[in-house]
Amino acid sequence: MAIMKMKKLRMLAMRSDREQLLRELQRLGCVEIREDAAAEEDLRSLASEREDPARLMEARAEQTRTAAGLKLLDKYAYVKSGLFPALPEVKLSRLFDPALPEEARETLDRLEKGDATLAALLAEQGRLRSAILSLELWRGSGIPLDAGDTEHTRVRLGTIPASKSPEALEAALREVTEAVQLIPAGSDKAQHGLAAVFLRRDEEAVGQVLRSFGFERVSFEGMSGQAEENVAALQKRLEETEREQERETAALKELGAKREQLKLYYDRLTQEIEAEEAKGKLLMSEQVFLLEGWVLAEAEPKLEKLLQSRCCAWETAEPGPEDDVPVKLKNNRLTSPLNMVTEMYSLPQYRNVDPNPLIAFWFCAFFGIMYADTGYGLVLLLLGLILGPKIKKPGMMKHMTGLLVECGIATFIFGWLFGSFFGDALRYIPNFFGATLDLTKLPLWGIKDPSADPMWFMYASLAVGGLHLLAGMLIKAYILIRDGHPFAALFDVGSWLLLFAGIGVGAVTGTWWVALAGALALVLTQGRDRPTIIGKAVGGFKSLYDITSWLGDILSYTRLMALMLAGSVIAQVFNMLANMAGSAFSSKLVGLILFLIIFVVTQLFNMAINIIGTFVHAARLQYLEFFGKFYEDGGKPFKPLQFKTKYSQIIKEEN
Amino acid sequence: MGFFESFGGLALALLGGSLAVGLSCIGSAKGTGIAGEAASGVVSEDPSKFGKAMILQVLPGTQGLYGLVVWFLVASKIGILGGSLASGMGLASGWQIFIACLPMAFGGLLSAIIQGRVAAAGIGILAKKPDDWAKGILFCVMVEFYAILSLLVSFLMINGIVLA
Repeated sequence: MAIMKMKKLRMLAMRSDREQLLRELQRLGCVEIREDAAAEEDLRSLASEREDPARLMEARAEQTRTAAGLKLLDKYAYVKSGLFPALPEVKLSRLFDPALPEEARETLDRLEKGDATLAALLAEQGRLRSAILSLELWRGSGIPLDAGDTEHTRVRLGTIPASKSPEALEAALREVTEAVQLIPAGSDKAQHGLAAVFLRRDEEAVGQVLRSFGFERVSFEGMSGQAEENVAALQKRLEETEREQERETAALKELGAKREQLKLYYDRLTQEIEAEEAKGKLLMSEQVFLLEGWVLAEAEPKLEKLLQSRCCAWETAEPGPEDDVPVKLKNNRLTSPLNMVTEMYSLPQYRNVDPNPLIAFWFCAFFGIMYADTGYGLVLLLLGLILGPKIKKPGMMKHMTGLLVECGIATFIFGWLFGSFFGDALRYIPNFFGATLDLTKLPLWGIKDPSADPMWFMYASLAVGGLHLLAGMLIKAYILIRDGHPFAALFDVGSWLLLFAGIGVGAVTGTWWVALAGALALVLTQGRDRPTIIGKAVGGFKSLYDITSWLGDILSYTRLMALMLAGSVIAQVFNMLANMAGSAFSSKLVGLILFLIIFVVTQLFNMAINIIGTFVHAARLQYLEFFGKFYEDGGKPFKPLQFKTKYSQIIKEEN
Repeated sequence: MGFFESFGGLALALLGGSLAVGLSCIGSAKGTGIAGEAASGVVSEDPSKFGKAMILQVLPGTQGLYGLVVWFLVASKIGILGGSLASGMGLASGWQIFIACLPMAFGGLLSAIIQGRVAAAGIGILAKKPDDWAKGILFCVMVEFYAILSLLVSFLMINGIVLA
C-alpha cells in the first residue's frame, strides 16, 4: 500500500557467468538494469565493451517467424478459443528445454513448406483453369492447335469481336483474293474463334482486312493436336493438383497438434529477447561485466542468497535526491484494481504517495453515486465475480474485474439508499402478478428519492465534493510534514482550511472574523518564497484569486447529481415504455413476457451508455480535482528483468 | 396573443416535445453519419475493426434517445399516452413546456453533430493506433456530458411544471 522502496545496485561479475546469472535474475524478477550506467571513470575505462546485438536481432526475427507460423496454424487448423482462454502452466525446465528450438523449427519448416506448396498448387490451378477456358472456343472445331504454315500457305488462328460477323469477314476477304478460306471454330458472348488459311503472297492484303475486323491472333504454345485432347489432359492435371491440395491441407491440419509447442517456443523467445536486451545494457571487459540498476529493497536478501554462491562483487545504496528512481506500487487485493485508474493517468513520483488506497474509497463512492441502482450494481458484481477467476494474467483486464466488484457493491449500496432497482421496475413487475411490492419497509431503502428532491442532491454533491477536496489538502499536508516541511504545511494547507472554516462559521453565525483571519494568513504566507517585499505582497494577494479555482472545483462535483439523475430518468422512461407495451395485452403472461423483453434490452442499453460516462467522470474527479491538490505525476514504472509470457504461466520450481 | 390562442396550450406543448425529439434525432443522424463514413473507410482496409468502429459510431446516437426521453416526459405530462388528454390546457402551461424542451432540442442537435466529429477522429485512432482506441471513446464521452446536462435541465423543468 505504498510506493516500494528501491535500492541502487552495482555489481561486477565474471563474463563467463553472465548467461546463467541473467537467467537467475530473470527468475527473481526484482532487478531493473539501467542502460545509462553512471559508473566512475576508472570502472568505465575498465569495462567499455557493449554486447553485439546480432543475437538479439536473430531472436526477434525468430519470434516474428514463430508468430507468422501460429497465424498459419490458425488458417489451416483453426481452433476456437474462448474470450478468456485459460493459460496452461509450464515448468521452467520445459520452457528452457534444450530440444525445444530444434523441434519448433522443424514444425515451422514443415508449416512454411506446406503453405508454399499450397500456394504453388493454387497458382497452377489458376493457370490450368484459364488455359482450359481459352481452349473452350476451339473444342470440336477440328483445327489442330499447332497448324503451321507450309511453303505457300499461311494459317492464322485468332478471334474477332462478337459484334463482327464471320460471314462479313469472309465476304470482305473474297474481295481481296479468291485463295482464302475461313474455318469457323466456336463462338461465345464476346468473340468468334476462327482459322484463316491463305497464300503467302496475299499476306499483306489479307492481313489488312483481318485487322480492320479486329482480328486478334492467338497461339497455343506447347500444345499440339486437337483442342479436345488438350482440354482432357489439362483436366487430368487439374484433378491431380486438387488431390495434392487435399493431401497438403490435411497434413497442415495435423500440424495443429503442434500449436502448444509453437506457443511455448514463442514464450521461450520472449525470455531470450529479454535476456539479450539486458545484455545490451551491460558494460563489459574481456573477463568481467558491470551491471548497474535498481533492486527492490525488500528483495535484497533473496538477491544476496543468489549472489553469494557466485564469483562477483556487488553493493547496494540508498537512492540519492538526484536519482530518477523507478516506481512500483505495492497494493493489496482491495486497492490494486485502482491501478486501472492510476495507470490511465500517470504513476506518481518516487517521493510522492501511492494514490491507489487514497482514491479507492472516493472512486468507488463516486461511481456508486452516479450509477446508483441495486439492479445495475448486482449485474456489475456478478460480471466481476464471474470474469475475475477466468482472467489469470495480471494486468488491465484483471484490474477491471476487481473494479467491477468494488464499484458493483458501491452501486448497490447507493441504489438501495435511493430506492432504485433497474430504475423503478418494482413499480411495474409485481403488477403482472396482481401484487404490489413496497420495499420502503426495509431499513434504509429509498431514504431519498433523486427525482423527488433534486435540489437536495445538488447540495449533497457539493458537500461530498468539499470533503473530497479537503481530503486532498490533508494528504498534501501529510506529504509536506513527512518530508520535513511542517511550516509549509501550516501555511499552504492550514491557511486555506482556516479560510473555509471561517466561511462555514460566517454562513452559520454571521461572524466573519475567522474567514478574515484565514484570508490574512494566505496574504501573509503565500508570497513567502518571493525575494522582495513587494513580490511577497503581490504573491500573497494573488493567492486569494485561487478562491475562484476552488469554486470551480467544487461546482464540478454537480456532475455527481447530473449523471445519477439522468441515468435514473432514462431508466424510468424505458420502464414506462415497457409497461405500456406489456399492459396492452389482456393476458398477464403475454404482457409479462413482452415487458421483460423490452425491459432487458432497454435496461442493458442504459447500463452500457451510462457505464462509460460514469467511469470517465468518476476518474476525472480524481485526476483534476483530487490529484490537483497533492499529486506529482510522471513516475517511471519499474521494469525488472523477469519472465514475460503470452501463452503460458510459468511455475517457478525451487532448486 | 390571439394567434397562439387559436392553437391552444396543448399544441405549444406538443411543438416543444416534437422539437426536442426532432432536432435531437437530426443531430444524432448527422453525428452517426459522420462517424459512419469514417468507420466505413477504416473497415474497408481492415474488416476486423468493425466491432470497435461501430461502438464509436453509435456514441453520437444517444442524443436522439435523450430527445425521445424528453418527448415521453412531455407526453406523459399532457396525457397523450392513453391517459386523459389535457386538451383544455392553458396557454401559459403550453409555453412553459415548450420552453422546458428547448435545452434538449438545441443541446441534443449540436452536441450530437460535434460528438460525431470527435467519434470520426476517434476512428482515426482506431486506424492508426488500435491499442489506444478506447481513448477515442473517452473523448466522445466528454461531449456526451453536455447532452446529459441538457436532458437533465429539460427533465427538471418539465417535472416541476404544474399544468393549469
